[in-house]
Amino acid sequence: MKTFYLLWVTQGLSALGSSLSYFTIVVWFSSVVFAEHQNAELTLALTILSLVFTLPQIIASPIAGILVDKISRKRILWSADAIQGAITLIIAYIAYSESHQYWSILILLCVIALVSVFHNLAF
Amino acid sequence: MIVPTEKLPRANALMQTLWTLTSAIGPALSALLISKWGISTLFLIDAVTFIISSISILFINIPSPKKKSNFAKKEKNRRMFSNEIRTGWKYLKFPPLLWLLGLQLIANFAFSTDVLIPVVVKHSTDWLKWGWNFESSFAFIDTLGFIGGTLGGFLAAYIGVFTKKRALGVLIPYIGISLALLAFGSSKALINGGIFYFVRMFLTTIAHTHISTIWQMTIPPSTQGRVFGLTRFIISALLPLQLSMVGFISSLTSPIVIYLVLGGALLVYTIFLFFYHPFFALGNIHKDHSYDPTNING
Repeated sequence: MKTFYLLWVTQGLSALGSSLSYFTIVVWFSSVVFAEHQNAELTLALTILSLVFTLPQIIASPIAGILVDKISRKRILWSADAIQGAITLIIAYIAYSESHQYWSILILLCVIALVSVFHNLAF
Repeated sequence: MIVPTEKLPRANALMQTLWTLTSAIGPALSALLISKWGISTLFLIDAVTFIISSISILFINIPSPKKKSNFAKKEKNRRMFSNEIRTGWKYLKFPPLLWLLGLQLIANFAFSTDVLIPVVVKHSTDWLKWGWNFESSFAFIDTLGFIGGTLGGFLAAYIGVFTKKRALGVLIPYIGISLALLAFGSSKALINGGIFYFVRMFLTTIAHTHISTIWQMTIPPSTQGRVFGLTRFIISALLPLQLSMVGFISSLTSPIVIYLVLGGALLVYTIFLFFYHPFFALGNIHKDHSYDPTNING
């Protein structure tokens, strides 16, 4: 169980980070990226945001399942976390540069969601 | 395996608690931190947590499952995607597991009524009398659910409930969950709604701990990726449909009707499973992960 507790703590930390990020994206879109009069655009972006997290799960789960059975689970777990960390750094930079190109954020989030399918199945 | 079979329930309960805790703490903590440090810092924190997690995994011994069963050995040479999917399906089509998957699908349908919680809170009559506003009333319900889920997780992890008969650990909580859904939907008082939501989340965590344990005990570790990939595909593919159906029907009728129909359907399905004896074999028969679909007529 010692290994599990170590993983529980580290994965808990990254799960908390992801939970912080998801809420932050919604706040960012609602209060920074879209102006007050752009309600229709905001609604579309938030709908796509929820799809961005759901669709990779639907499309990639069967393929990810096959790979998880074939590749070292340790390798999948650390590389998935590393990729998600690197992409989140890019998102942090985009937010810092005050860019309003939300499409690039949605594409990056889609990649994160895709990678997380592999991570979740390997865990 | 990271966790020995006998410790799977505790590990699953702790995972359930982790999801409840992070999803409850995350939004409140984000709101606090955004006001202090700004949006980009929050993303930076998330990136750092991923990198810490990635580096720490490098120092943890995580064994990959060994292929034990004859069936797993036979399919070594099969490389085609369709064959891999078929392998997953062969394990999945064990009838008691299919019934369990059915329970999860109906439950997810019933839980998609969570989008209606604000509507139920709005229709409650007592919070105005207490001088509360909508936000505090909604937060009250949400907080009680979070406390219920966390308590259920710790109870399942450290005390253990229905450890001898895991199928009962799914069915008995699900009877309570169905009743709590029915009661929540027809509840007029906020305090009652809060109690029913607390009960639902408490029992859901316990039931889901047993469900995860049953799946992990029944499917050999070397095939779990393929089987769980398929189950997640089925469950997540139906999710948008379920949410849009609940959204559409709620625009036509009262939320009470939706809670009654979906809570009722979950109750009937759960009661049926009490009379389906093969279901009770789940969680008890495959302690050595030796389930092999080539040996089971199903």
